[in-house]
Amino acid sequence: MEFELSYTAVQEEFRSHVRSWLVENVPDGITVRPQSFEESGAIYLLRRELGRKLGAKGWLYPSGEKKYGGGGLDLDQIIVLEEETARLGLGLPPYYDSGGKMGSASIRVWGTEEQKQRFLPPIYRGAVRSWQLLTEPSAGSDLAGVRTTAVRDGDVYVVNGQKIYIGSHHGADRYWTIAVTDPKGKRHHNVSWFMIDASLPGITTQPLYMLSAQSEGETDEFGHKNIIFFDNVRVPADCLVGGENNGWKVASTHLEVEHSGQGNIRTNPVWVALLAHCRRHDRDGRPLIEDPDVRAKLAEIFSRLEAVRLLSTRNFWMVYAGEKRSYEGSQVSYLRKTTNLWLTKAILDLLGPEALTNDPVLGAIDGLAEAQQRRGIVEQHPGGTTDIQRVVIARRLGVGNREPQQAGRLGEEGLARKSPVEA
Amino acid sequence: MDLSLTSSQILIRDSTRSFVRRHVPRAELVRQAKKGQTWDPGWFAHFCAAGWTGALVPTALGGLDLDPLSAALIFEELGRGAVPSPLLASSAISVCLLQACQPSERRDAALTAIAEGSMILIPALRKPETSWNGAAATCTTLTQNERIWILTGSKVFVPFADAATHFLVSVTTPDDAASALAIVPANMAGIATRLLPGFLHANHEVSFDNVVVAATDVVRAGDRPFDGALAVARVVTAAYQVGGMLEMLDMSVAHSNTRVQFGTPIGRFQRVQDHIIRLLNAMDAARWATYEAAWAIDSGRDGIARSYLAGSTASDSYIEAANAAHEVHAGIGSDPQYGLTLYTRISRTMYELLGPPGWQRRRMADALNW
Repeated sequence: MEFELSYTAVQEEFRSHVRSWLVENVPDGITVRPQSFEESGAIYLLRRELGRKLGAKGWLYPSGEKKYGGGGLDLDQIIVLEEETARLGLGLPPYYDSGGKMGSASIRVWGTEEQKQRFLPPIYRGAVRSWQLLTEPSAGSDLAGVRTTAVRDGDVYVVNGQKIYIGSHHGADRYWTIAVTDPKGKRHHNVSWFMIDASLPGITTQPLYMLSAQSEGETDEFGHKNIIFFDNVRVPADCLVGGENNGWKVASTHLEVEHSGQGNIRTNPVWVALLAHCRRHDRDGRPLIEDPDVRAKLAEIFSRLEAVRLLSTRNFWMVYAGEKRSYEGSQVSYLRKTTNLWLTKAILDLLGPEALTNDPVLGAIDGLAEAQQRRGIVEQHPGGTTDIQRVVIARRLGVGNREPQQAGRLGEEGLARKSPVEA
Repeated sequence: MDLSLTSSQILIRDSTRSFVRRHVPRAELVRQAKKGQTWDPGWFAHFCAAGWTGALVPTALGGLDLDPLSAALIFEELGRGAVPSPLLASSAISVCLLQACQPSERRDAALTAIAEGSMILIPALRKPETSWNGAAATCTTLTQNERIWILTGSKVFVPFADAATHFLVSVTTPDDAASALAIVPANMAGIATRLLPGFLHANHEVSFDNVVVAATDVVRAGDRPFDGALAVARVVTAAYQVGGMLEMLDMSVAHSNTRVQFGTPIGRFQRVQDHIIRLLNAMDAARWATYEAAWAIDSGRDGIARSYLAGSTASDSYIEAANAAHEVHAGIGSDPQYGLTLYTRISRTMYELLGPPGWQRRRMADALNW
């Protein structure tokens, strides 16, 4: 067993290439916290432009198959890309692309060859931004209880219904959604997935500002949600992915990705900023880091976050090493959500009311602490509540004398680390 | 032993509850929060008319001189309604601080003005880059120039500074080491008030730039430390927090009975029940610590230690209760239109209004002579 990432000469060469490419192509100000809706719009466009450039190199979706426009990269290179983009405060993709991430994973496993050729390249190359549309006013935890209908009419499905808590700001090009295709069918055998062109007639969007972005003036990408209405939207039949009424099986892949099945190796940016803040700022005439109470609280925060980091790293490794997975995705999702909520109070203990304001002078860690206070609450619920994650974990373990439930397929299993020579 | 309320306490509680239900609809609070309104002068006028502004002021000075539990019941109902107002800051915290000062005409006149509603006296205690350490240790410089004083410096996390007719500023004076408080009209030249944006509700930075303060407006600390004098303020603050928890409990139970998932009300699921029970336990722990502290103060027992217990428990519990309520509500709870986030925001804002819970527990241990 080896926890420390060691890098081959080939990897270091790749890192050097990636780093110099990023220096040339990542524009200034792309990670600045926007102060207005207009400014966030301008930054969003910069991020989309960067996405297209990354996509052209196969780095936007580095594990995606090359023939569909992905990078076709192996674990060695993906690790380097993850580290180098994280170093600049960017993710991959560098914008909210939930439908792209979960839609592409699902299409890889469940789509036809023709659908893979049609849907994957625009996602992998950054030509489109996609949102997932799952939750409805009456169907949250109970995803199989969706009421949006997609009724076949010749070459199209006619979609009617309403989805809530969707996306972020500045719109999307594609919607990856689940709808009832057999209204009289049995639960779990009556739903299907669609990749829908967001510009189709009959689709309307209403903004919804959650606690993490309470008004248009507030610019938290993840707090700006939408309600999306479908009114007799005619969706071409070939946009149905995974077979009619087979949607619950497709959902197993979608939800596995959403429940953190893929893992990651990124360091929590809030932790990095917290530690730096305590080193640089004084209270009562001495550096915060020298206060025994602050040190104890920092150590407690570090310990809790390390548990999340370690299990996320384990999941990352399991996927690419082709290890058989079970409860691990939901376990990380559960731990991440509960830890982030716990962290809101821990940061309040650590920093006091400075953690509750994004004031340019008094707000701690450039407003990041204040944003965490709100996000830690809001992010309890998307992608399955903590209660749902606990149900999944129990089922995967076979608790209650049941046959242990299998983890959803991700389509990325077995991208094992190549030898340095092969790489 | 008798843990029931007296008939006059029930009357006070019910009349406050009735006012909140009739005049402070949640939709209006949501609307005000959305447009950034921090408090409602109309509601405050009602508080004056009802005498609540003088709840803790001696009758000789025009107040009601209520026992701590009766005052706590007013604040519990206001907290239940998430009613934002400078009442707690002015009529509880400032009144307690003034009462700990040496008797003077200025002090008594201020107490009378607070009781009659002509003065909203907002405590401005905390300096930047200092931890909460009670009013005594958080001072701003006051220098003397013949018969006037000059106030310079800034105070942070000042609640409802936008409502202030006057500020009660903790100061140090060069002539002695004792703490003093300056009563400063809010409209004096050199005072600037700035609302702090973000999750924090109605907190401000107040800066004083060579503000002239009359010598008579400086009131000196008395024999009682400010810290102990704030015992009643801690109790009524805790009561406001308890009220918020009570409302979140009602909202959570109602939601669990009406929200249907998997073909059944979600309240049938044990995991949802667990969240509600967590909320209930947090609320009741704070509620009974608050009631007992009010009783202890009123009956001359170890009220200071009990007030720290109530204060720390209520601050911790309010966050615990809000978190549990969000677990019950999931998505809709995070939609500010629904109203739960009014309470969530207050639970965070009030967390260390009178000192962080950890600090309060240490003070409790000191007060108990451990």
